Amino acid sequence: MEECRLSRSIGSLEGMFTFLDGFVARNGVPEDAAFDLRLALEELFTNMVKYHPEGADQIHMRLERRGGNVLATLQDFDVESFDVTTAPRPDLDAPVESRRPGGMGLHLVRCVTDDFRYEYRDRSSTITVTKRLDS
Amino acid sequence: MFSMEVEPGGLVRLAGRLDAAEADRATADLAAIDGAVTLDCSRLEYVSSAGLSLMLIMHKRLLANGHALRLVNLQPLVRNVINYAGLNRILQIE
Repeated sequence: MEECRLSRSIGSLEGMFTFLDGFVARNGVPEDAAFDLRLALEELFTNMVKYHPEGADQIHMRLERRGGNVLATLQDFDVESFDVTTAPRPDLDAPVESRRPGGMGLHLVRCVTDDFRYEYRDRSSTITVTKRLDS
Repeated sequence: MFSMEVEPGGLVRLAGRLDAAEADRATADLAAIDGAVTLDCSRLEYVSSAGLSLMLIMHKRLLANGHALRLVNLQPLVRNVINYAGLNRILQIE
């Protein structure tokens, strides 16, 4: 398992991607799965930055290759509970006039991952996504 | 790394990874472009919801002025993201 700590800022995305790219190279993760992990982690991380400004300064990220899967975990401390796995699904059939920017990120996470879990304990949110490497 | 080249006639070449940090930076540059716009995505390797929001805002702004936003040469993984978001039903994609 590999871990890094990211400052609560959109500017940390560059460091997050560098860490992920290194993990992908070291673990032979195919590019299409790496793309999906990049997307899921960006969406989850930016959600934490935007909607939990009250949280601790750093967000922890862990990556683990477990057999044919990659497990990616983001842990946020000193935050209120918000179960991202129950966020409403966007209306993809809505006409252009009523489509609004935003609200799409968690939907994309569901689309590109094989499992999506949320746990809240002691004012800490932990989100784990699983990506199957043969999917 | 993301870059954007604006050429005469409304052609905009996108390259690299359009993530949330880069979308923030690109917003002002794209807002300055008027008339019909074609985004050449042949070298766009990655896009997240922030980039999609940018495209949706631009599309709606151009549409309000009687113009269109066209996306061309999408790479398959980028096209997947656009399809997941249902923007393939809204944007003109070739």
